[in-house]
This record gives sequence, structure tokens and C-alpha cells, in this order.
Amino acid sequence: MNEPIAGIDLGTTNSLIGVVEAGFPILLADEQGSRLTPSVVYFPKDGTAPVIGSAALRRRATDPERTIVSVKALMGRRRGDVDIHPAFPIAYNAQGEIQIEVDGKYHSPVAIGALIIGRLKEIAEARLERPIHRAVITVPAYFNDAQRQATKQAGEMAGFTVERILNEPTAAALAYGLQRLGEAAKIAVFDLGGGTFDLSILEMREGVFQVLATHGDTQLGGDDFDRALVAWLAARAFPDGGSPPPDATARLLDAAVAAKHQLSSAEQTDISLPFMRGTEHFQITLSRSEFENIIRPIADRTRQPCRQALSDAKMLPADLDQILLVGGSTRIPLVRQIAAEIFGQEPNTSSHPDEAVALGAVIQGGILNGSMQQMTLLDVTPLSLGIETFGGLMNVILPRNTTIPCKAGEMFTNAVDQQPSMLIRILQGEREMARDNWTLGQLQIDFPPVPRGSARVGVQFSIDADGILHVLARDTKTQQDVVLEIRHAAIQVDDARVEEMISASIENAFDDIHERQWTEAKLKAHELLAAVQTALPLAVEFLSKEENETITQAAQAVNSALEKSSLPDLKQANHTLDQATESLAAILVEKAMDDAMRRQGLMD
Amino acid sequence: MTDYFEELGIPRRAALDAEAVRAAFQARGAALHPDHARGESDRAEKAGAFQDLQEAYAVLSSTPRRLRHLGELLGYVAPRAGIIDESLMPLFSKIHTLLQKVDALLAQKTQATSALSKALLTAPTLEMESSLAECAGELLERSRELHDRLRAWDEAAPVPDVLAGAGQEAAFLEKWELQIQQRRLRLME
Repeated sequence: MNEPIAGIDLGTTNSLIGVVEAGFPILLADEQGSRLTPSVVYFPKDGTAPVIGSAALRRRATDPERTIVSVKALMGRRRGDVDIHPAFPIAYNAQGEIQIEVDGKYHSPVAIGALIIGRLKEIAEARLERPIHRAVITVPAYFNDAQRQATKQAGEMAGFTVERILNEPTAAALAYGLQRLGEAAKIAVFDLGGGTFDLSILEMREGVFQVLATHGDTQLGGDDFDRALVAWLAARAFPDGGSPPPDATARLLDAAVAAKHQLSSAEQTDISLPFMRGTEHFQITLSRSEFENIIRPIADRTRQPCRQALSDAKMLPADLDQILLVGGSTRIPLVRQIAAEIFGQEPNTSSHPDEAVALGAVIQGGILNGSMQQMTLLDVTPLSLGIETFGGLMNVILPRNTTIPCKAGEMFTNAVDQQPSMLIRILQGEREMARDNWTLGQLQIDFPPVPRGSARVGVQFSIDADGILHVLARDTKTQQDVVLEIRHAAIQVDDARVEEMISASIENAFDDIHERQWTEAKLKAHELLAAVQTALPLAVEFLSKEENETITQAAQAVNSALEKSSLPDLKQANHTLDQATESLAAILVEKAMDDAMRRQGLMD
Repeated sequence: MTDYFEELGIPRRAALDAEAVRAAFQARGAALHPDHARGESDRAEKAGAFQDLQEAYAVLSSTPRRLRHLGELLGYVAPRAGIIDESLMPLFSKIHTLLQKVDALLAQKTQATSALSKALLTAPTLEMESSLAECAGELLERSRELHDRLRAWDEAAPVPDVLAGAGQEAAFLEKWELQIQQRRLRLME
């Protein structure tokens, strides 16, 4: 019998492991009987071995600086990529890669990921009573090359041969399709987890699962809901402003997560935190609709990737047979409601939100070791791959949603006589300008010493089944292939500049901040005043005399604050005018919609 | 040169239904996929074969690329630089003007920060959206006409330089469809 290949879901919040047994994918539980292992690593103060899983999670509220959570959000990330501020200290190495600092020691996110995967390996080997050497690990579909490489490295560091990096929504589709191999269907997988969002559209037919389009946001998930709720709670627990102390924030986070979970089934929940400020207790009742108002702007960010994926797949919502919901955050009623709105149909909630992805990873392991031959997965690369060309433009070589493994060739030639080599910047992303895309690395192409235009080097870009790029150069004379190394040197150069910019801005920090805030407030004031001037005459018939009066007065207050050049006054006046015009804005939107409907009615 | 039609196992035709091309790709892809390989050498072989298949699928599922490939198979190398056919000119200038207006509106939208100034842009946004939808409809109509013409040629014997002209038209239609789709998505943001 073939050696089993474990399937691993390395999640932002929780991780799981499983194998195929007797032809069925199963997930394996730890000694406590839990299949979910929290993706948390705690470094004890006494320097003993790190604690992983639920025991580590219990430390988050008391030891936030030593408890590493949501490390997935940091994997494969470089300076400038991430805009989050974890409770534990982070630093950057010379390559601009993120490092996590505990007791003066630096840990890479990959090493933390490896500890979590190592713990899963332990669980599986204890259950199966045999060693496991090979694994499939899932990643968000919208992960880029570096994030995929980092995940693969974490698996290898934990002692696995990583047989495949698999996209999470695709994995969920495999798990769903396993029981329905005879059916033909088009499905969308809406995967909102702890830190990432993916939307994939697939077609399944006779055991073949073809991904047609995928889109996502690698910085959107349950963690963002938690942060928004913590900020809301902090503003109420500490009403005189300023940021609460770290231990208070850590307690608020625990309370926020608990409240979020409660509100998926309950209409309201009580939050009670004794001794929040000295002897003062913090107590509040949060209703589901209040919670929904807090998270709505974040949840609404799922809409655009869905529309984009539909457009790429050349489909309308009605073309889809099922909308599968997976990921813990799809338990939130508002998220389900948004998914239903986007696709115009009730989503399918039959998949286990936490387990579907892991089961899919197990199935892919079964496909690879030959125990589940009846299924085939045709996945795609989520991001366009290209190179920088004349004028700083991105020249796409392999467009997004190309089925992998795939390859494409480009021919390069020397621009001047005897040119020894040229450097090419490799990019991933969808923007027209090279600088707006993510730089994967640089490539050096060597030329023979010949007159300009006569060197010919063919370069082959191929993306493997893991979604990872490989580059080969072929000398057209000798037909020899050389593997080209992709270098990340470019980042170091930028580092010095970033450093410079930071120190320069610190020196002028005070003046700068005041100056910038004043400019921002002034721009906002001008924008608002102009908008009021245009909007009032348009909607005068719909406004009461009082409303009209309130707006006019608020506008005058903005004008006088501008004259006085007072920043606090202007900010306050802007805010008041912004609020006073809320109903006016709503009237205008409604009027525009009505007019459009009427126009369409006339045209039809 | 490789015959992508043969590679995918479908008849050599100018007009092809996207679903049919996809079904052929899925059937062949399942048989050739490296995931089902036994041993390293089989894997390498299948990986190469699958990449070739995927290239054939990419070319045949795009009308302009398919037509160019068909022309090449028939021994005609189409000139790459595109000249807009006389009959497409009115549509081209209409789309060009509209896209410029939409881009100006999009620039305004990114600058609007208050609810009121955003609300003021609702009416022009809806207006632009309906103009874009109208253009998209016209493009779809043109694509259908082109598809019908291609089908008629498949019945007769395809003439290479007529194919090349149709290929260019298809390339323009595809590009404009994409540009319009992109703007519609951004207007909804």
C-alpha cells in the first residue's frame, strides 16, 4: 500500500490534520479529542519549550507579548506589505522579512508555522501509531509566490516532504464534491476565515474539478472583525480617549471574540469585565444589530472580489448552482446575508466551516498517493505574472486564472554591443504600472559577447502545481537549459531609503503632523462646502425648514473655523456638517436611483 | 508547428463554443494530469504534456488567438499590428469617448471623502453605468455576428486572409469588452 499523505489546513486561527483511511478522508483528534488545534504558540518565561495549541491560546489574555497568534498573516510578508500591529513585538531583518521577537530572540513566521505543523504531525503520528513523512498543506488561493514558499518551508522545517501547496477554497470544493462525483455543477466557494478571504468559481464534472476564476483579499477576515469590536469596546471602557493599556486590550480581545461567537446565534450578549480600570468594572450589552453595524464596512469588502471573479469566469450569479460557505467567519449571519445578496441565492451551509478545507487537503493527499484516483483537480494561478518593461509598465506573461502547471516563453536580446547581462524584475499582480504590483524578485540573464540585437536567450517561466514560479533560460545555440535563480536583492536597496525616510520624518514629526492634519481638514472643509452648495438646491423640496437651517448653520461654522485657522474647531465643524448632511446625502442617493429606474422604464 | 485542435481532440473550426472547448480540456486534462503519475519519470512526462495541453486550451478558448492559430495552420501569417476596420470605427470612437468620461468620474470618486460629495456622484455613476451597459450590449451583438460569420466560413472552406481580418476584429472586441468590464467593476466599488 502507498504511504499515506497527510492533509493539513494551516489556518490563521485553527489548524487541522487528517489522512485517507480505508478510502475515506478523516481528521485526527488530539489527546483531548479535539480536531481543532489553535494556531497559537506561547514562549514560557522560564525559557522552556514553546507551548502550542489550546494551552497557548489561554495565555493570550495574560501574556500577549509572548503569545504568538495569527502568524499566518505574517508568513512570506516583507516590510511594507502588512499593515497590522500585533500584540507581540516584530522587527525586520536585512531582507526586509518580518521577525518575531521574544526575550531578545528572533523567530521567523516560518519557524512559528513549523512549530504548529510539528504539533499536528505529533497528533497524527500518535493517532496512527506510525510516522508520517509527506503532507499537502493548504493556503489561501490569493496567496502570492512568497507566501506559498513560506508555507512550504514551514512544512519542511516540521519534517515533512511537502507534496502540494493547495488552495483552500479548492480544497473545500473537493470535500463537497467527493459525495457528488456523478454530478455536473458550477459552484462558488466563499471562504472567509480568520485572516483571509477567497472566492473561487469552479466547474465540476465527472470527477474533474476545474477552477475557472479566483479572487480574494489576504488581509480580510475574522481578526478584522475582532479588532473593530475591540476598538468599539475600548472607546466605551475608556471614554476619555487614549489607548488602553496592553493587558486591558488583551482582555477586551478575549471578550470581543466570545461576544462575536455568541452573536452568531443569540440576538444580544452581555460583556462583563471586572476591575477594568482599577476597581471599576466594565459592563455592556451588545445587540446583534449593533455588532453588525460595527463590522459591516469590513464585511462589505467581500463584495468586490466576488464581482471580479464572476466577471473573470464570464458568469452571472444565476449561472451558479451552489454557493458554498466555508471558514469560521461564515457563521456570522451578516456575512451569510451579504453572500446571499451578492449571488442572489441562499448559500449552501452544509460544509463544516472549520473542517471542509482540511478534508479537501486530505483528499488531495489521496489523489497524489493513488488512493483517490477518481478525482482530478485543475487549479489556477490567482495572480498575473509578468515582467517590468519599457516605461515601468507591467508586461503580463501568464495571466491570472491560467490553469497550473503552466509555462510561457519570452525571448530576450542584448540592447548594446557586448552587453554581459541584463536584469529583469518579475512581478505578480493586476495593476498596469510595475511599481503598483508586488515584486517577486530579480532575474539576471547572461549574454554571450556579441553585437547588439544578436544575442538570443529564451527564458521559460513556469508555474508548478503548487503555484510557485520556476525560471529556465535556454541558450538557443547550445540548447542548454539553466535554472535561473530569482534574487530578492532589490529589497535591501529600498531598505536604506525607507530607513532614511523614517528618520527624516521623525525629526519633523511634530510640525509635519500638525501641518498635515490642517491640510487634510482644510481639504475636507472645501469638499464639504462645495458639496453643500451643489446639493442644497437639488434637494430643497425634500428637506424641512429645520433641516435646511441646521445644514446652513453647520456650513457657516466650518467657514468661521477656516477663517480662525483653528484645527480643533475645524475638525469639530467638519464633523458636525458631515453629520448634518447625512439625510441630505441619503435623499440624493435615493433620488438618483429613482431617476435611473424611471429612465430605464422609459427606455425599455 | 503544434496543431492545438489535434492536441485538444476537437475539430479544426473557426467558430467554437467555449463550453465545448472546456469540456474537451477537462476530459484530456484528467487523463494527462501529473497528479495521477506513477513514479518520477512519468510525472515529468505528464507535467510537460499537461503544460502543452493547457497552452492549447488557452489558445483555443480565446477567439482572436484561435483564429490566428488557425490562420497559421493554413499557412498564413497574420500581421500582428492591429488596424481598426472601417466598420468598427463608430463603435471605437463611442467607447473611447465613454471610457474617458468614466475615468474622469472615477478620479472624482476617489477624491470624494464625505458622504455628501459621494452622494452627489451617485447620479453620474448610474448614468455612466447604463452607458457602459449599453456599449457592452453592442459589443456582445458584434461578437455574436462575428461568431455567425465564422460558423458560415466553417461550412465553406475558410480563407486565410478573411480569417486574419476576423481575428483582428475579435481582438478589438475582446479588448474593449475587458476595458468596459473593468470600468463597470470599478464604478461599483
